[in-house]
Amino acid sequence: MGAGLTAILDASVRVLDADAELMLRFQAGEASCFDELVGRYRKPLLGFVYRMVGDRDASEEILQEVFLRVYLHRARYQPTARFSTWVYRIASHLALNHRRDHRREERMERLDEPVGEEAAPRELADQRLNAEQVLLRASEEAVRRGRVREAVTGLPGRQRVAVILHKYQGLDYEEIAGALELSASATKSLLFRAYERLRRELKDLL
Amino acid sequence: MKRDPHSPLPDPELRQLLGVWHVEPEPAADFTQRLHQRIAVEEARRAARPWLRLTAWAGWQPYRAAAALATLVLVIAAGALLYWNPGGSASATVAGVAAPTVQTAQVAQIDPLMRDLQAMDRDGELLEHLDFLSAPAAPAPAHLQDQD
Repeated sequence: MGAGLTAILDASVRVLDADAELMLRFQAGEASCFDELVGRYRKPLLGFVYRMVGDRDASEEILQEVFLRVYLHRARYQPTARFSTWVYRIASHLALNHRRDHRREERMERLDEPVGEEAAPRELADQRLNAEQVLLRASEEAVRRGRVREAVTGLPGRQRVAVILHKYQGLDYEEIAGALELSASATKSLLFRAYERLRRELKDLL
Repeated sequence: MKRDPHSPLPDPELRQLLGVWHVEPEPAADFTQRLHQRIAVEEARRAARPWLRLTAWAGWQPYRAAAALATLVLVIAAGALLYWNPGGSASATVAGVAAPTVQTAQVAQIDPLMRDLQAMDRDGELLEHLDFLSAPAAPAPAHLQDQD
């Protein structure tokens, strides 16, 4: 057995996680493993893509495309990195491409801003505040949420991906670096600059 | 708490503020069904185009480099075989070009005048004497004229 193959196998064993194992079984022909992966990843990936593109319909389309690529290119997956890294890399590429192509027609469907009767957060209602206070707080909260959303979505492409993966998807540096195809130090630097920019833009809310 | 200026992690205040952006979109109920429909359509499209299956095979990472190398070696070997094979068509073509045709041989033997013109052309004299060749002949000196 060649040294290269041994190295690949060693690396594979090191990083093999449950999702990677599912993917390998899918590669080997177990079709049900694909459905299992879709079930595990569709919700977090939809949250990620929605934060990236800001449009629900477009997010679902992109998510379909992500899983379609996972299915069609299953033979290309190598367990040298976590499955999440691979799938978030595909999603990042597609989301960035969509953003580049639709920059001018971006519209933010406010999935994160409840409307109508749901406008007041549940915890505020539980505190038995009067209606005025509830509305006031809800409105302040909505303003803060809107400002945060604008600040994050206003970041340059890679910074935006890095912050969303780090803060909202909970990926570690290694996974983010893998998804962005950067070194760990470049990823840390990217995140540092992104958070500095957010801190400047949201200074008055801190 | 003092912030570490070299840490990429946001400080607690910023972390808390960023946390107010809640997004919990639910995929549509028929998401998986639509996905499988798309997969079926794509697979049918690929099955209709054999070259896509070939590229899919070539895209298989562990064997990609080996496949590329094998293809390169085959192309070089085929080219070398074609070039050096004495009975091959490439050699026959070269031989055909090298052998003089009947017309070439005839041209080479036209007459000494042609050789003179060719020699003058090589030496760059042909253009210099072009006017001499094309101009009407000047009258010969009196002592050289025919005495009738």
